[in-house]
Amino acid sequence: MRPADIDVVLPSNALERDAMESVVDRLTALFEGATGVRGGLYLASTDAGNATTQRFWHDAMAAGVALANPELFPWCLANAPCAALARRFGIAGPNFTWLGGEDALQAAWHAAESALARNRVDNAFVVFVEFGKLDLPGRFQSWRLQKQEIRRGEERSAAALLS
Amino acid sequence: MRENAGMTGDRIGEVAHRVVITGIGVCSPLGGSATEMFRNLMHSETALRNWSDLETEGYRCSIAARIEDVPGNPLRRGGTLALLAARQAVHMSRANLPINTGVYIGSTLGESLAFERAAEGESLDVREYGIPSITDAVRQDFAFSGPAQSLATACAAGNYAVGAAMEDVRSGRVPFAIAGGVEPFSRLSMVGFTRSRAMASDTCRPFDMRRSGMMLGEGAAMFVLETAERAVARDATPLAEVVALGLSCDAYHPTAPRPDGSGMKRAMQAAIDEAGLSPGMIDWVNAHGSGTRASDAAEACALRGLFGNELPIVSGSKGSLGHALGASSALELAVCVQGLLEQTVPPTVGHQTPDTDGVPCTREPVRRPLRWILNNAFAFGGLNSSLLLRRYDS
Repeated sequence: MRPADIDVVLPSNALERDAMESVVDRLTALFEGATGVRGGLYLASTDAGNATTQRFWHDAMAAGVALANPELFPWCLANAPCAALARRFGIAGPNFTWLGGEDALQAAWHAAESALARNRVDNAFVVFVEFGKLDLPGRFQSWRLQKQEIRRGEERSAAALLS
Repeated sequence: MRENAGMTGDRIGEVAHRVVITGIGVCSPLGGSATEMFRNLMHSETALRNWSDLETEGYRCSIAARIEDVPGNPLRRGGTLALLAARQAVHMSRANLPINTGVYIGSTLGESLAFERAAEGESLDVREYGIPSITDAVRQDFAFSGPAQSLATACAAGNYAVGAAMEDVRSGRVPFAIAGGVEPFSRLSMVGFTRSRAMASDTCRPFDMRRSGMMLGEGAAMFVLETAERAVARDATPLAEVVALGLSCDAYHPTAPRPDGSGMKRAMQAAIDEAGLSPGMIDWVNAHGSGTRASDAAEACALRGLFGNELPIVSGSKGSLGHALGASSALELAVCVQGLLEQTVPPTVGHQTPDTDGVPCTREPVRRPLRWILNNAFAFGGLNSSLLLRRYDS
């Protein structure tokens, strides 16, 4: 199983928006030439949205429900990181987010390979994100898949990908 | 009946297994089954009403569509709704589901109340209350060990989940699938959407010139999917065929849709292309129709761009059901299937007068031959989905 094309550490104790901002500049080469409607994003995450959701509600309780600051609300949604990648790199094809562990990454690989095999996309990007919490750093991994890599029927081991 | 533009629409049937729905389960504020919900829709009922608890707690908007008397632990309200809907769907399907049945659940926030309580200081591990906890609850209830997918694609999550299940059933990866969407009522969402100025001032009016926003709902809808061959072989009744899921992303703005509706149009076009259809063959579009100024205007552009002046029948359900976020497209899929079975499109509650260049929606039940339906669902982040259904013909 090939290693990730991008494998970087995310800061600990950071909201999803800030963690993603810390990594996007390093992704330019990965996405080069693969933008537009024929690119697809397939993101699996253990915890996207968890940190922001708690911060947003904590702040809302402090300010009062009628006066809460809505700025963070879109990042409560687990699909916000994948949508942010789409905006940043202009990837306008299918945009998936799964939550979970190995099953989520397995689903992301499976959907990406299927989309390539069925000619729905020319480039598929599989992303795995675990956001940092408290003193623990997070991890961002990404693989770029292209049509010539797809062998129908191949089953990938999500456990191996995560190892 | 609309023109079929010289195409058969049978490409999917020629090249792959046909995937059908054989069971529907619904927990909604407008009824506890697909037939009850549809019957109330047909009578232009709405579940939207004022809630004194929300008013007392100081919410600027205290109108919503909620389900009363949900049993069980409030922290597991989403899991309870999903389980009730899944059991109902399985019962209807009369299937003896094997252990390798797949489970595909979509939601926006999972068990929102648990996240709120944790943020208020209660000792809760929020990792145990995300969408996977709901998927796991369904798997454990039926003792399944097949594939599991927890789709976190916000307000389009129900369509995504059913589409993912369709792919796995069609490919033979799973013999059966339980798929759908669920969203427990969320105070956090009430605050977020209200403070984002997305909420209506009084009620939800899809595609109406007086529309001012959305209203929050909740619920769950689950479906049993299998191949038509399997359903026929076990003497089950296919209720509708799930044909294709078209997807796109606006890649434009965190919350606002691309104003020209081009991304929404691409999603619908993708579903139509995958089935080998032409737009003229679509009989009914169940619109996303959230009732917000921007989203409905963009969807109207998309519909006009795809269908021109030959619009199919368009309806929307959020004036009746509210916007149940991750459950909305699943609840509305149940409306679509029931509409196919009854060959009737329900009225669009809240819709009276469209914008000058907008889209007229049904204002009363429309009975006519229906074969092909698109179920649209769009989400924050610019996610666009359109699920193509076909009336089941043996």
